[in-house]
Amino acid sequence: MNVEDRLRAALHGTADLVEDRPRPLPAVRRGRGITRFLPAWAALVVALVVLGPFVLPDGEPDAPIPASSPSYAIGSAPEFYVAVYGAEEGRPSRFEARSTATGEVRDVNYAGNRESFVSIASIPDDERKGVSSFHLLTRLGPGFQPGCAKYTVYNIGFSAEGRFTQWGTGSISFVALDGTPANLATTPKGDEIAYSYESCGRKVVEGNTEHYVGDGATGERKIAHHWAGTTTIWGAEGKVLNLAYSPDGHSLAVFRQRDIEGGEEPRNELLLMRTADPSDTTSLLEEAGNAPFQTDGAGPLLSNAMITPDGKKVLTLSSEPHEAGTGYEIKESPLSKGEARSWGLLTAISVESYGNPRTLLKQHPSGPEVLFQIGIKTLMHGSQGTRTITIEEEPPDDLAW
Amino acid sequence: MIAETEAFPAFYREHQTGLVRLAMMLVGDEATAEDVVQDVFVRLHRNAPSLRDEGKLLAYVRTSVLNGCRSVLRRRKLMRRHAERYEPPAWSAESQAMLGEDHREVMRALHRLPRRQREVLVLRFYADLPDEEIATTLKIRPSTVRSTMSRALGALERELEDAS
Repeated sequence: MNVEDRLRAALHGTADLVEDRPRPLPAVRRGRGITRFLPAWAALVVALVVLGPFVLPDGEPDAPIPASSPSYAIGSAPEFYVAVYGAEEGRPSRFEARSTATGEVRDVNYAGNRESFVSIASIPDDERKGVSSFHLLTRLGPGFQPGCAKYTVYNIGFSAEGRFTQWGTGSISFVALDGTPANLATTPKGDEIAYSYESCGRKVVEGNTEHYVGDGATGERKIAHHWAGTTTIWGAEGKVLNLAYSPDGHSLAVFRQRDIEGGEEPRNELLLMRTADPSDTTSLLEEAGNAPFQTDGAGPLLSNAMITPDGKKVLTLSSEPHEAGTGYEIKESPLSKGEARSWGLLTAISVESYGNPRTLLKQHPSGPEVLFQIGIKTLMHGSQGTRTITIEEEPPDDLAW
Repeated sequence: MIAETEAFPAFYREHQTGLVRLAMMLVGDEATAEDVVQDVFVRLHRNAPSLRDEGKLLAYVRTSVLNGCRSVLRRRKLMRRHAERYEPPAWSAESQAMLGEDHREVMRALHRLPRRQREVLVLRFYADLPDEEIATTLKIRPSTVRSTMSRALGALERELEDAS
């Protein structure tokens, strides 16, 4: 075979690695018309502000906002939240925009092309620009190695009313043990992305030696931090249950169920890890005083914990079974250095659930409201107290505001 | 203009896989190749060229994809000092892609060639473009395409001999 034939065969062999499948055409917002006429709009607005009181007729006074108005009930929380559902038998994966006030579905988008949505994180700085956008961790399909799958992180956008408007391109892609990636987190600007997963390596035996090609041995729990085209990976040393960035993006708050050798009960802990040097860790629960949580069943069990988006507090969700179900408490503690730590109770509720249902804990990126999931209930805690937004037999896999 | 009509999604559907494959030859991994192609279509949608002929639009898009690939490779070169990991090229030893060893060897040799030689070979031996279309895509003269092709094949042969 001459060099031309070898080259042709190699090129077509490489091309065949790319599956012929539909790929989403990214939606584009076209703002040229607005920017072109910006000076005219600005002049019109100035004229209305200056002359408005003199030239506009007096109308009926604004009606007072009724106490039962949804906007009153949700306080400063966003109008809608996004819930992500994995694929069920006979039903594809989907994400839904739901009203924070009523839980009603505003919009739904089903996954296509054998994709499945996994986890979601909001990009708060975009919200300040009038756009609600999110990163969406998505399973693309099976990988080349058995048991492994390909994943990517898409960017999606919604209108202020919760209508799905934008489907962006995948920002990163990676291979992981199928079903293990979770806990997507991002910085306020959305330019750094973190997630947890289990590795998917390939063992190579050369003579008497064995080594792994790719991402270490299969099934190792890891945390990945992606920024500026670079991905840093380190061992999670336990099952990761929540991830959140510090506001400056320099650290990750990792809530994990740490593996303890010797058959002891796993220990739940919240660590602040510096992304530039993940061995540089601080235990946030210890920082926040003597954490009143146990793992041996003698007291409240710490189900979830996170650092607040402003980086100033720690939030915990703990549970303790009682006769009629399980009592849950959300507590907060400030993290300012040099002060005595104290735990304040945000809310205490009782949910008819037994065992240890999956919990999700999210906070409004620029407000005090907390969105959380306990088993089949989606709840919100705000200035009006705690209330159930929705109860569903099929709970979401992830939530974001 | 096609990019502003309902024919645009159909144009995308028809050509996206071929363009992702073309980009894959140059950047090495499917995810980056998809990004390059999608970025091109986003820009095309925002800033449509005045083209009514689908053939000319395809040539325009192909050139944009090649430019996108060059940007990715330039960025990677700059990032290499800091990068701990990005998806390895399908032909590298670390890649888990199902590519035969001979194909890997040829692709590795191809990627040791200068950029223009590599692009000319991909456009001829993968995309099957004639000299004139390669010249249009790369914005060079047809005679330059022919001389570059001849030098590139010689260089590739030597690379493969050195590797074996």
